[in-house]
Amino acid sequence: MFEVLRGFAILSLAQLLGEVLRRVLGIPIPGNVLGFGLLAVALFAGIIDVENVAGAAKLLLDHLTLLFAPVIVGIVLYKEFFRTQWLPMTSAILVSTAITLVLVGKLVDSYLGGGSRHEIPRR
Amino acid sequence: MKSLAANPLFGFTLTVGCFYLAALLYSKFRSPLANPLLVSSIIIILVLEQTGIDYHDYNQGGQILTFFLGPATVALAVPLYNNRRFLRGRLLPLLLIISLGAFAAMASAALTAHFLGADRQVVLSLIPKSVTTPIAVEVAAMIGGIPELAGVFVIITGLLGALWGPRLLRWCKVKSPLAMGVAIGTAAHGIGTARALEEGELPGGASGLAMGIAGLVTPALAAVFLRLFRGN
Repeated sequence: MFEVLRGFAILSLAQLLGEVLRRVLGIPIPGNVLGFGLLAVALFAGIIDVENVAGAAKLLLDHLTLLFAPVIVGIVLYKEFFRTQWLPMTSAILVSTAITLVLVGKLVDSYLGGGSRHEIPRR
Repeated sequence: MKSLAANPLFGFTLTVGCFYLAALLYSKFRSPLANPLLVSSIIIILVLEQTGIDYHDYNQGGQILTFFLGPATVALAVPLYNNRRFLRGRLLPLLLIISLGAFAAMASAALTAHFLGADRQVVLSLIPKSVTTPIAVEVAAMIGGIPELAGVFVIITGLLGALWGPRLLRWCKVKSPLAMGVAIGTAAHGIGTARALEEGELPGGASGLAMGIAGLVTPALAAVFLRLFRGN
């Protein structure tokens, strides 16, 4: 009973603790990212069972793209940037995405082999 | 009319309604170009421009949705945990490679834009473009970029990685499912991960894991950048 409620309580508590941590330590890492790190540690350390947050997490992550829409609509405030700087913007994204993909792909292939030759065992 | 548009109910209804219609459309066409976020954002922008409703009025309702990006970011720890088997015995090398990839993504985007003459604010907004939107938006705000621009760059990067990532990797003779997954997750976050899942469970899981690690590493790297640039 109340799995989603419990999950939401845990998720927002983790974010709140992240905000506290950010203020106390004075580190420039966003509170939600610290909350993500805190929850990851709690899950890996076995402090919180994943079942407690799975329902709420699924509800949020299934609708993640919807949550971005108001942020994206905010570009109406910055139309000028797109008109004047579309070339450096698109070039930067193209170049950087290609470099990252190939660099990471090649490194994993050469140093870690890959799933095809020695398949990773299931849980 | 003006007061009604400033009621949070207006922006909320417009956003959820348009997104629902765009999701219906996507379920019919399944093309990455019919991406519901892309389509619904364009419809909302057109509605605002045609009616002359101010973005700040619209955002009274919009920010209710934006608020939930916080707990949603925290919730990313769940898929990270569920994919933990990919970490077994290779935690350190994977951490190193993903960190290196995250650094390369940030540096190459910033340098390319800088040398092609982009404004400082645009360069800073491009830096976190390879991580998932809720994290990128926060990082952009932190280092002096524009969160809305960063959000758009993240979406474009994700679509690009999803559309061309697997093809580019095969062309470069990167064939192992693990390598493909980790590369796509590091470079193209959640949209890429959705694509990697279509290649199989192994690349999908590896991609989700890489996306989570890149999401943790990127704000830390950005913080270091910030220190360095403030230093001189």
